[in-house]
Amino acid sequence: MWRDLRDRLLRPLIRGPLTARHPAVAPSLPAAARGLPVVDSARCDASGACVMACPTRAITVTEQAWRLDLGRCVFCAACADACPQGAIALTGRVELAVRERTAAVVSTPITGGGS
Amino acid sequence: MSTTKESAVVASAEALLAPRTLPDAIRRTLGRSLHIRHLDAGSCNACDWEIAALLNPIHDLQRLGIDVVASPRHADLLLVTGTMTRNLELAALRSFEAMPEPRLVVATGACAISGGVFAGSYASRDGIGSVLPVDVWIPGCPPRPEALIHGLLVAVGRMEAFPHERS
Repeated sequence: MWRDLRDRLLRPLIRGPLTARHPAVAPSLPAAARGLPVVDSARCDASGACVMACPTRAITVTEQAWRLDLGRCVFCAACADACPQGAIALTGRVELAVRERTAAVVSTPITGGGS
Repeated sequence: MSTTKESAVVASAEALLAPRTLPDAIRRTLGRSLHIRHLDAGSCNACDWEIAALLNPIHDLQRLGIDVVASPRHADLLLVTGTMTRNLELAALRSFEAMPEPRLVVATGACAISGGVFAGSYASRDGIGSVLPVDVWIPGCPPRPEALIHGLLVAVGRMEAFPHERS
């Protein structure tokens, strides 16, 4: 009985509410959560391995820029796994809502490497 | 209102050409309250489960003045998931037309935005944008509940949209 009282009454009182404080503070996500993919523009050599690996053809690569359509991206990290330079990483950023369809396309200039 | 798909397509073109409601007007009309009608337009149900998770004690959508209602006639915002299959085009359009103005449409997940992994299929459109006038796009497959909350608050002008990083 006392253990029950402790677990069901006291512990929640000490712990505080479980409800996330999310819009007020940054979301607390699990470490494995996959968000916005970013490319290290210095390490990218425009090999196009990510383009071939992407299941939804969300990535386009030119000599100048690495372009990702977030509206197509399924956050599977196949691009990060395929990149021979290890230049792509999925960040924990998940708040990606946009007002315009075109704004969902993120572009990163490629500065280093060069194929 | 006629029931053929041709008329549905014409009506959708008219909806796309209609003047868009500005966020200021939306905020003036709705205040901080927002009622959502969730519409499944051929989803795999992953997005739908994330929407369901919004109502659990962790995310507790109601604390933000947002709630889910059972009819588009009661809703301010249509939260659409799925690729917009051909069979659901008319139903989606009817749902949109049943909503009182000002009305918002949010495309949830990669499928609703672009068709996602189903893009190019003969059985569905590539996203809901060709049938409904979309106000906010929420990327993700599925978008996490935090991403959905962000998208909903972007729709009513209570949060900033994801910045577009130009090259």
